[in-house]
Amino acid sequence: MKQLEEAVQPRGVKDSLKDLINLSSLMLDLAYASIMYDDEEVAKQVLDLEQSVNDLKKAIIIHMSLAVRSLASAEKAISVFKITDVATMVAYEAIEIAKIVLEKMRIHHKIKEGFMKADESVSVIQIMKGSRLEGLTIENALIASGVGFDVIGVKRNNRWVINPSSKFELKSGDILVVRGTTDALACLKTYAGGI
Amino acid sequence: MSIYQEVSEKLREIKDKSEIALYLAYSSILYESKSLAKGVLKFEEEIDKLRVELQRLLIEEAEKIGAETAMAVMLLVESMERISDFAKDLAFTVLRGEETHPVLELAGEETNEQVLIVKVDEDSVFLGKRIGDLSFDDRIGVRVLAVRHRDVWIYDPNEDVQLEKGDLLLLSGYREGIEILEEAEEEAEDIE
Repeated sequence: MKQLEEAVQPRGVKDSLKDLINLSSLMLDLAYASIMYDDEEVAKQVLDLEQSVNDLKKAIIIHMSLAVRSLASAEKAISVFKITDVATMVAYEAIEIAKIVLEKMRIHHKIKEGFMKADESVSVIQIMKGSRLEGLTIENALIASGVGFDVIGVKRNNRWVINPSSKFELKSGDILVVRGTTDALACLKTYAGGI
Repeated sequence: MSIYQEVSEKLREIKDKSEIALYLAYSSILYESKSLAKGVLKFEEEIDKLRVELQRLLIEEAEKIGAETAMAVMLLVESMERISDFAKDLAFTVLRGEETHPVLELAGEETNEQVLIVKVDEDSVFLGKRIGDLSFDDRIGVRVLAVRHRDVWIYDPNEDVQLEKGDLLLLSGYREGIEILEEAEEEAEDIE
C-alpha cells in the first residue's frame, strides 16, 4: 500500500509534472488502442483517468503557487503552468478519441490495418487469481515471462499508480497498462491468466 | 492504391507527426532548445496540410468510405491536429526565449519518455552509420521516428541516410530498449 499512498501524495512539482506528462501519453496510447481494437473497456479506462489528471494538475498549481514569492519567480513559473496545461489538454483529447469508440462509431478495418502497423502496442491486462505473475514484483515478472515490456500504469482498488517502480508487487485483480511488442503482449496475457 | 490505404496512410502520418511534435515540444522546453522548437513548427505545418488533404479525401469519397468511418476519422484527425497545436504553443514559449523554471530542468531526466532524442557527437556510436545498419531488433522495439540530418528534419527517414556529426535522432521506444541498442552498437564497434 505504501506505493499507492505515494502516488496520491506526490512529493513535489517535479514528480507531479513527470507523472502528468506520462499519464497523458498513456491515455493517448490507450485511446488509440481502443480505436484500433474497437475496445470499449479500454476506452472506459481512458475516461476513468480524468480524475487522476485533475488531481495532478491541482497538486502542481498548489505547489507552484506556494513557491512563487517574487515577480521574477512568477515569470519563470509560467513555463511550468504551460507544460501542465498542454499535458492536461492532451489528456482531454485522449478522452475525446476514446468517446469515438464509446459512441459506437467504427472505422473500417481496412483503414485500421494500416493505421497502427507498428508492431508495438499498448494493452490492458488483468492479473487473474492463480496467475503465474501473482505476487511477483514487476522486475521478477519480466524475468519469469522472458519478454520485454513496460508497465506504465496499474489500477488497484479504483486507484491508479503511474509508472510503478520495478519493485511494485503484482496482486490478483490488478489491471495493468502495458506497452510492448505485440508478441510480448500476447505472451504476457497468457502468463496473467488464471489456472 | 485503394481509397482505404490512402486514408490509412495519411492518418498514420498525422498520428506519428502529432506525437513527434508533442515530444519535441516537451523536449524543447525541458532542454531549452530552440532548434527542437523549430522542429515542432515544421511538423505542425505538415500536419495542417495533411489534415486538409485527408478531409478533402473523406468528403470526396464519402460514398465509398461510408459515412460512419468518415465521421470517426474526421473526429480522430481533429484531435490529433489540436494536439499538434498545443505542441506549437509550447514551442513558441521556447522561441520567444521565455525563462524556464528550474524545476523543469530536473523533470526531463526521469521522464520515462516514449521518444528519446539522441545527438550524434564525434564519439557517438551512431556516427557514420547508415540508418538501415543500426542494430534494431523487433524485441527491443525501438524505431527511428525522424532524423535531423544536415539541419533538415526528415520524417520516417530512408535507410540510406548516413549519420553525420551534429545529426539528431528521434527514437521511439522504451528506455531499456534504447539502452540495449546503444550497448549493441558499442559491442559491434569493439569487434570491428
